Amino acid sequence: MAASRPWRVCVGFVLLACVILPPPALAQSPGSRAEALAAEQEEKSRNLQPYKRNIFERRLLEIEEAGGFAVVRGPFVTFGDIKQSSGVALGPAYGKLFDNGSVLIAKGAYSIRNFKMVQLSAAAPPIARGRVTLGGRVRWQDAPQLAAYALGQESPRTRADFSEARSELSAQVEARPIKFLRLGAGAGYERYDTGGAQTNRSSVEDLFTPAEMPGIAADPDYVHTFVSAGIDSRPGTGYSRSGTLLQASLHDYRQQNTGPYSFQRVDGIARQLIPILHGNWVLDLSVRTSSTTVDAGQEVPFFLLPDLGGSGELRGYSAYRFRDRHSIIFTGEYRWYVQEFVDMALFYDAGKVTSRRGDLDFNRLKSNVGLGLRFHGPQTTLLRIEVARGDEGLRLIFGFSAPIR
Amino acid sequence: MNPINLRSSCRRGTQVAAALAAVCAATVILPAQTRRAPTFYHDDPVTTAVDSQDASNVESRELSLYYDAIINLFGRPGKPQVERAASVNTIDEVPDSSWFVNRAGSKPLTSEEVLRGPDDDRGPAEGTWMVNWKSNGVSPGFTITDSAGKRYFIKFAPPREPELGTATEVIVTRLFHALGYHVPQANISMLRPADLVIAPDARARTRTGGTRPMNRSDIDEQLSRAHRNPDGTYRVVAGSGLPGRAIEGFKYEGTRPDDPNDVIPHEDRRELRGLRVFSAWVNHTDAKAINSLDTVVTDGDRSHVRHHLIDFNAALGSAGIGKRERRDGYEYLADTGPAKRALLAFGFYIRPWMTVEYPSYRGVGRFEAERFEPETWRPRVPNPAYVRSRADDTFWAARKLLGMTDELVRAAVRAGRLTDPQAEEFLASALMERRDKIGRVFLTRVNPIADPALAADGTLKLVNPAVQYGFAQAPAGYRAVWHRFDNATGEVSSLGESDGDADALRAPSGLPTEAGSFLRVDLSAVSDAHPSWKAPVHAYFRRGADGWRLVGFDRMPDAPAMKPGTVGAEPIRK
Repeated sequence: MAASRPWRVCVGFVLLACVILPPPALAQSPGSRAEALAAEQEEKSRNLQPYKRNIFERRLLEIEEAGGFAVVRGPFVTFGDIKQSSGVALGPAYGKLFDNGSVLIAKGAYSIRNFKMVQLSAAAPPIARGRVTLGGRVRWQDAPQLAAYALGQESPRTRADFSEARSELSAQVEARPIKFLRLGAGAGYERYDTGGAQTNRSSVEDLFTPAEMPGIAADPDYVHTFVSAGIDSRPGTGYSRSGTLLQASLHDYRQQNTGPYSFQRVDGIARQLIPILHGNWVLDLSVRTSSTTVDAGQEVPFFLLPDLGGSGELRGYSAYRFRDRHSIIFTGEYRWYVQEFVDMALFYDAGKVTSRRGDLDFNRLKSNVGLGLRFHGPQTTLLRIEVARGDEGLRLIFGFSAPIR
Repeated sequence: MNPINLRSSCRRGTQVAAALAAVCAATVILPAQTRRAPTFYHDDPVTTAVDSQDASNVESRELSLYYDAIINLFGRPGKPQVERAASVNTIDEVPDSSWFVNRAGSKPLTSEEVLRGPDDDRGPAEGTWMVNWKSNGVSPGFTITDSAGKRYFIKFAPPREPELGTATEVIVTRLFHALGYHVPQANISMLRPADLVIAPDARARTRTGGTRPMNRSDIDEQLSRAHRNPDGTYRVVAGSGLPGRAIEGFKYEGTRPDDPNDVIPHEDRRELRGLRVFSAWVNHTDAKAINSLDTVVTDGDRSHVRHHLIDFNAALGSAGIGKRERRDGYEYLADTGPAKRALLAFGFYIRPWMTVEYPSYRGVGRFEAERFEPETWRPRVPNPAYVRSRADDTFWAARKLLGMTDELVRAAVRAGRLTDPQAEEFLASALMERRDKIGRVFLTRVNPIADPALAADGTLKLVNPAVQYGFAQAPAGYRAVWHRFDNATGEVSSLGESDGDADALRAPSGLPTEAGSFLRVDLSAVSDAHPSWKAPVHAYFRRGADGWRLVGFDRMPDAPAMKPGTVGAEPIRK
């Protein structure tokens, strides 16, 4: 009986405590929904923080404030290729945008195949409400290993290598005076320095004679001028799903140092993009020709001859696989929408090079079929990953621009 | 010492110790039990959520469009689990707040009110318009001060589309205001270049991000990018400036860390989850952080943040600078499912949007109702609030939307001042048809019982909006399971069951009669066509002096654990 007394006291005190002691937590509990919400807000007010961006958001905001990805400003990374067969190149770049709209860009790049490039380019502010654009550049590029095959359509697959360094100072103007009409002109000084390549393949001088391969070891300096005119109804030159392009350009390469390598080249393109199902399917049909002419006693150096093969033309063949004085290539592509900014393409290329213009016909064309994935912007092709098969095997292609521009 | 006394002393010591321990236990344990907040407070359901703290120190912040798009396309910002919306009151409604004000579907609206929009402003006064600022965005525009000294944001129409973007902006502004969102006033106006005068202190943004004095060529450059009418005027949207200090927009996830009143993660706000339904209605595919605007407004001695939706010219059939992309509303910018199929099918996987035909009315663009599918509609970029929308969120929104009668829809469309009467008629009809499609989907896929009312005599009446609007056949009957509810502990005890129709469900005998007592009634519908209606809603009533009052409502009390889904919330599969 006595032993239970402490618990009686205990229970008594508990009851007393419950009655007379204000439960501390209960005293602070809200008495209404409004108070509950206010308490939550008051608690936050004691721990306010400024908004903090993470580094990714900060960097993206800087790009936006600079005008977006399309406007280069400040340091950035340049990515792409330097020249056909250079492989992927990467390098630092710096852009400066001026208040009047002119742009200055300096960049350098180095490729996985040891190609190098340094360039300073400038674009003047748009003239006549953007109908006229004016630009220029100073560029040096070094291609230590380029392919050379015997000239002609039926050349054997024996490859020789050569190196080519090229310096250029040029300016060009493009005008769109009326809708769809595109006019262009440009002039520049170009210096070529060619020679043997430091590779385990034969050097071009070892495999070919100057008669077989004009311009071997030639280092011509040119004043290169060109004019072009065309009808272009495509919404964008780098990527489009509809429109027509009919364009011709005339180039004159006037050698400045001693040598018989002055020539002219005429390029022509006819291209029709046929949108189907509101542009979700596109048939892209084109024919392109290049033709060179020389005065008596002059020649076209082999490294400036029209060529087929590589990532842009006759994709089932290696870069520069076919060279000669004239070329023609037909391309048919069927592209389909995968999702925004991504297309797939099934393509067929057929073309030939010839020594006589009269031989540019449909006979004995080299051809390939291929399949590719395209990443693009509204008017620009950013990356092509393609597989093409010709009668010399299967090729994997990485391209950083549209195959036809 | 006497052993007995010692014993007694020891016993007394034990008693004192036990008493102290008991007092401690009483002060610690018992309050802990009573600390549990009641389920319902005396002021439930609240109709207004008050911002109680001063927010005058909230600072402006710039938001990145790119970051917002990338993080939402390829990430899943916000909480990983989806729970019931946190901004609703106890009867599952969104109270009026700095985010939302109940209008359509909550109170009678007139077509004059809808036509009027957020305020009585009718656009800039005629006379000289002083240009203060030139924007540098995709759409050309100015900030002007009119002859009456009022400030406006002027947006132009793109070339060849004089009515599409401008009408869209004004119409959707009216609709979203009527639906309950804070929006700036917008009106169609006509600009005469000769009326424009550059303000002495006018600045223009340079391409490098700086500013410089504005000159006439800045105006000409803007006008050159806009549609010019044959008489030399320009049709523009004149947007009124919002009251208060602008501090940029809100994100659709998380809270603003420097706003003391912003305590509910935005992805858990019903008014933002439900925005998915309203956006689907008007094809507003561009609801993102930078298309919102927070302002600090002062009421009396306290400032708080008001949250606005802005920029509606990329809605209906417009993309702002032209007709919208056909894909808009059907796929995200990056949508892996259809992309995979398209990749493998050589283009012969025909997506639904590829075959949609649009009418060619002037000012309508790519907008139609026939192929519209409310449940699969999606914006350009996943929205953290939309992907968390549950069936109770979309039900709430659909019911609000059905408050937009034909008359109100026509009034809003009239505000767009389309010049082709057939275009106006088509647009209004398409909006009505889309509204009804939304109702048919979102009012029927969850138990639609709403607005239960319990009379003092024990007769329970309820509303079934799915039936009320003609989207479903009336169910065979309704069932009520009655419980006494303990507001302090949340415990229930059964009182019985009853069956009946929507107008008369009789309570079993023995309902409590004392004021302050609570009932929980589990209500379900018997419908073979709609098995989901068997899942009961919970309605809570409190007994007052004059009868029973609805104080609580949960449409999905037994909802499974959910996660953000592709379009809306999805159950977590174990």
